[in-house]
Amino acid sequence: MKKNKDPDNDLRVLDIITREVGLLEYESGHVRAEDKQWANGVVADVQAKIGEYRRARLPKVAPPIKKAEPISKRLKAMPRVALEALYAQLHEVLGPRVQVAFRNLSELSDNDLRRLIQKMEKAGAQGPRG
Amino acid sequence: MKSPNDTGTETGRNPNDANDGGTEPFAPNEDWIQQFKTQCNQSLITGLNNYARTRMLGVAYAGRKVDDYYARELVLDAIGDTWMGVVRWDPSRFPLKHHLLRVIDGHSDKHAKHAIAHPHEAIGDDCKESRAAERAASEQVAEPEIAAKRVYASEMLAKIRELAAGDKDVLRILDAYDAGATTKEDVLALAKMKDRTYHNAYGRLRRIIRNLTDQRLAPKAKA
Repeated sequence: MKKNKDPDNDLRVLDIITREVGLLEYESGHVRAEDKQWANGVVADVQAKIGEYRRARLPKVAPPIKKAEPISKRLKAMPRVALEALYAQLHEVLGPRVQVAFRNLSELSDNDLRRLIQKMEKAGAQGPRG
Repeated sequence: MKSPNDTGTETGRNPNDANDGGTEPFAPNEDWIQQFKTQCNQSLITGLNNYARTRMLGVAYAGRKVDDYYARELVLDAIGDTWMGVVRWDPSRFPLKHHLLRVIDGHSDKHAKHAIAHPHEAIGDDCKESRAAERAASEQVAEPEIAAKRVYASEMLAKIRELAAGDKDVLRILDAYDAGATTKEDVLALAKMKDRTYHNAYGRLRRIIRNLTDQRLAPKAKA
């Protein structure tokens, strides 16, 4: 085989050899215990940086908590049976416009049911959207 | 301030997107972060460290003082520059491993050039090959940096050949590279070598390089 006369040939050959051997060392080279320990530290640092970055992206001030509207005296005065009847009536009037996330009304407390009815009445008063 | 390393062609980095002194800071989205977090694991980092140790032989022979900490520095710089957006990584195009290997190559090459431009160590052992390379370099090129780099490469290859003395298959691989081979296929064709012979010889060449790397790094690592 004839040697390449290019003056940069040795640079090229050294580059190829260190790259090829480097890749072999990457895939299956011996890893010393101290290198493993160091790598674990690096992973921990990276994860800490990611955590810090994610936290920094959170809004600095938490959005204010909206206080629920007070329950009207009329609804407060109504017993459970009357509330359930009113709910059924409103449900019929509003039809598909109303979607309630409770499958079982019995799971709702009296006051939660009153709040739900209040919201439904408000939505009904505003009329259909769109 | 670190200057960006252009790995765009191979890593999918778009140089126009990079924060090269621009005003828009790098702000990775959640998908990018998740990919980075998943891929940046212990196995990747130890692999990169092994790769950097081998690649830095070129820098070591360029007169830069190198040790195990320098290999780690190369890995940390590559990870840090990617996280900071100094070098951009596109997870949809390339795995993080591929990107970081190229960044390490870029950094070690940059350091080698710097070491040659600012020599603080005498050129290594005087040998026939280095004298020839020095002579050829000084005759053919005007830039002393390039001449010095050629001398280092010639010395290094002379050392590898010396350590491989008697191993004709390893020498055949080196001869094939010398004759212009670049890939494994080129070597097999030029050296008329069987795949198995190549594989075994490369294993021995790998040991030579690893020993050279260890010799180069170990005393300074203990210091």
